[in-house]
Amino acid sequence: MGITEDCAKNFPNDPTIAHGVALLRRVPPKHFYFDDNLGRWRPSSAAFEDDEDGDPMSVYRQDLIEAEGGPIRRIMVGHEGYALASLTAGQVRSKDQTVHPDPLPEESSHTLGPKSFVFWKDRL
Amino acid sequence: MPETKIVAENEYGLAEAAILSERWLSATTLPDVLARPAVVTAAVEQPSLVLRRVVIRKQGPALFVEVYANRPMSQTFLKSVEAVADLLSLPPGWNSYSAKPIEHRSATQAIRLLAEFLKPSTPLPSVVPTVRGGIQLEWHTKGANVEIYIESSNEVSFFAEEAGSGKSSDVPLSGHENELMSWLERLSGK
Repeated sequence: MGITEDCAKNFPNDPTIAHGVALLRRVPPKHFYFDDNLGRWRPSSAAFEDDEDGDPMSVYRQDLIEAEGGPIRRIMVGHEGYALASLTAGQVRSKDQTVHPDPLPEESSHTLGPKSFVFWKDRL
Repeated sequence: MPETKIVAENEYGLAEAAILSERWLSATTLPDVLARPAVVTAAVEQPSLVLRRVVIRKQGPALFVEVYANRPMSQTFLKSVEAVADLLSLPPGWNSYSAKPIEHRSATQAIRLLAEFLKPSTPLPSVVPTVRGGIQLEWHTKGANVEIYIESSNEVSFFAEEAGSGKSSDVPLSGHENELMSWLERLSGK
């Protein structure tokens, strides 16, 4: 079973999450750099590497955070120096990957989503 | 965070030592952050650095990275080794998710690759930890993107692309060493 099929089975896509919903991912300081070619900061492909456990990456739904009246910075608390990268649910699905809600007691917007660095090559 | 120290030492055979010591001993010494002074090459292109030994060992809270080579090491190489050594103190979960600590063998492999492929004229790489305990060496300059992937399993591959033209490579390093060297020479402006 391929990664995408495996993901679809274990972490099925939730079609009620609109394509335009922004999915946020914390990026540690060691995972972004200034790209001379682009003339701007960008995340390293390493920020989008899959864990060894095969699970998709953790992201946070911006729409849920805002619906709860919470500032986005709540997912940055305790993570000084980190950046936030953003993908839309539609971008994730366009790579045959799923967007799967996974609320945690400490963060209701927690979602499982994109895998692998195909997004980096798309010039995140 | 535990202290990390780097020992950079040149190990010569007797004949080499006799020839090289006079030539290099008057050169610049390394910054104070290193455990001991060493001699640094001038900005003249030299043959590849050959590492005799790379030792990573813990002594109390301090971590020592010892590098022994056939000749004096360039500033570019030593700064890159410092960046590799810096990653060895990352704790589990260092990315705020479930990242593993960097494996010593990944660091050793990274240092060996730096010795093999880094010339004094090569731009400094970004030395990037991976969530699986590996290391990436990255360059994004001169219209090219070059990334060397050192997996925790010690498998090494690289990705390189030329911005705009669509020319790219995504291959295991083994058997493609010359191709990687060509990409890196391009970064040096050659």
